[in-house]
Amino acid sequence: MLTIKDLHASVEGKEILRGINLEIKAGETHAIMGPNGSGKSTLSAVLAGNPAYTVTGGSVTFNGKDLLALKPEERANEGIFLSFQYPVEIPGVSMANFMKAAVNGKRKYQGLEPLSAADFLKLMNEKKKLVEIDSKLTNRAVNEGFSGGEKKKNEIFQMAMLEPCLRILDETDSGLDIDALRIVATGVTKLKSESNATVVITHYQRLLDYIVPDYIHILYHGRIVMTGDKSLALDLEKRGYDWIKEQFPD
Amino acid sequence: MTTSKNLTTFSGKATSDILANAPKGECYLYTDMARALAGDAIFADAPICVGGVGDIDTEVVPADDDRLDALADLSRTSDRRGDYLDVLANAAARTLNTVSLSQGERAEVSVRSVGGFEGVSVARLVLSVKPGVKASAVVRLASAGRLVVQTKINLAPGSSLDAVFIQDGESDQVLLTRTTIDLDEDAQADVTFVNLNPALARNEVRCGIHASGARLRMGGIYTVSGDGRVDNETLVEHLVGHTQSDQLFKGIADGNGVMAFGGLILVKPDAQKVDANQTNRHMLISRDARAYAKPQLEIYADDVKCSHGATTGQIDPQQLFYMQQRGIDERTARRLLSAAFVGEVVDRIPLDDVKAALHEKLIG
Repeated sequence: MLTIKDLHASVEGKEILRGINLEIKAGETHAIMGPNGSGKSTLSAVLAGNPAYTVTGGSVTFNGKDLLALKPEERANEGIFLSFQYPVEIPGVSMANFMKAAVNGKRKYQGLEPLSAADFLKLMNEKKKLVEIDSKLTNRAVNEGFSGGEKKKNEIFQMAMLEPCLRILDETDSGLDIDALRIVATGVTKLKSESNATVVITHYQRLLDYIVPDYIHILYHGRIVMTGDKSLALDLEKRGYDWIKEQFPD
Repeated sequence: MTTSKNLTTFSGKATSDILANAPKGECYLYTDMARALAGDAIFADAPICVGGVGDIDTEVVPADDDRLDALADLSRTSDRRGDYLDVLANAAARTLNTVSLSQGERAEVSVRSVGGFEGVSVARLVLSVKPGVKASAVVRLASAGRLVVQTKINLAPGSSLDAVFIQDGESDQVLLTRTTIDLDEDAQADVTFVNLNPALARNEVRCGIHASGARLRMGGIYTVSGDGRVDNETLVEHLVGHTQSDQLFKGIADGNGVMAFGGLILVKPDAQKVDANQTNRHMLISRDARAYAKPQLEIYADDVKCSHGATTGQIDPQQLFYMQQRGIDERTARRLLSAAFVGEVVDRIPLDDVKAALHEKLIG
């Protein structure tokens, strides 16, 4: 599904990614861990096409397409979904109008007619139930005045609405209490299928109790320095990152 | 439905003075009045339609060359806010249309420029609300050419008026409005000016708050694109104490569009306990669009609460990226974000159907 080869990227002239190689297949779950500043969020931003980041080398192929040549909305409509670490508040734009534009944006991209108002409402209601999100939230402006947990839940709701094939969760666990974490993680697991893949970016092992990864990659100084199975997370939880830092001095 | 039928065209030697004496003072910095009124300086009364209320009283003012002579004196008044358009409308219009609003009634007023006419269409309108009466008015302004609209809103003690002036039409129009709002004791006015993509629209508003307990709320919603231009100039005078005013003007400019807001809050001596606010926010969509703001306070009393704020910004790149990441193309995302920006003012409009239609229109 996704092939990343020797990816280099910088922000404001500072090189953050220094040669990432990663292969992700449908049905797989990959966790990306690593100390602060190692480039985890940069990787997710670059894949989503955030214009604040500049790709300086390498290639990314997504379902046979050159991902880096696509606009952010084209990447989204090809099936890439980024659950933001800090979901953005958009005062004045209602969740309904926002989701309608997103769902119909994708349909237009696929050459389909926009959904009728009735079908759109039906879809909203169905997905709201699936991810246990309150109508009080979906009746408001996008993320405006939402608590940290509500914002993350809203990300998963949008994921359910858009049914992406590559789900990138950027520190979805940050700022969540145990109950919210369980609901969010359950939503992600419920939406998992043989045809989609998941990338979980996290600091902590805790989220991986709910979203069990097939692979864990450790990112350090802009490179993947180690890859293992889920036991690697338990190791990190016990030993911290210092031994990694010692092993891979810059 | 009543229609004013007085359609008189006249021209004369004095009309050339209109262009010669067009004001160029500071508050006309962003509107070239001589150009706005260009052509042969021929005037005709604009057709006015009133629906929803029983009566419009149209008084015909006899043709009189003396009135045109007043135009010759225009240069004297050229640097004062709004006087020019008032003198011009008084001199050039042959009819005065008075609408008396009754309790709970909504007046639907439409003013159009004279079809196929290359001169300047002029309308004089009076909206008058009797003591204790609560009423509303929607004034639709349509111009295929040049239109000058003078409106006087008189609010008697304890009365209230919710009014919206809407220009939303062809892009080749020139619209100049001069609105005077006078509030008596405990009267309330909520007036919003909407200009969507005109060639040129200038709104001059002079509001006099004459007695205690009176409250004014004023809104402005404007979008410009291409080579379009919108210019708002407000003067709110608090003549006595224990009065309130609140202004929120928000505009968006795309293309080579220009938007300007100039506002003065004037608090007279001894007008204590005045609460006045003026907020102006501009958003620039394109690199070549321009925004100008001149907020002013002149306060001659010492126990008042007055504030003003003016900002010019752009679309937040983070909001834009968030929307694009959800599959919304850049153009649609910008449109939704722009609609949300001015939507704050739309939300304040107390007339629900007008509010809903405007939201719909702006989202597109």
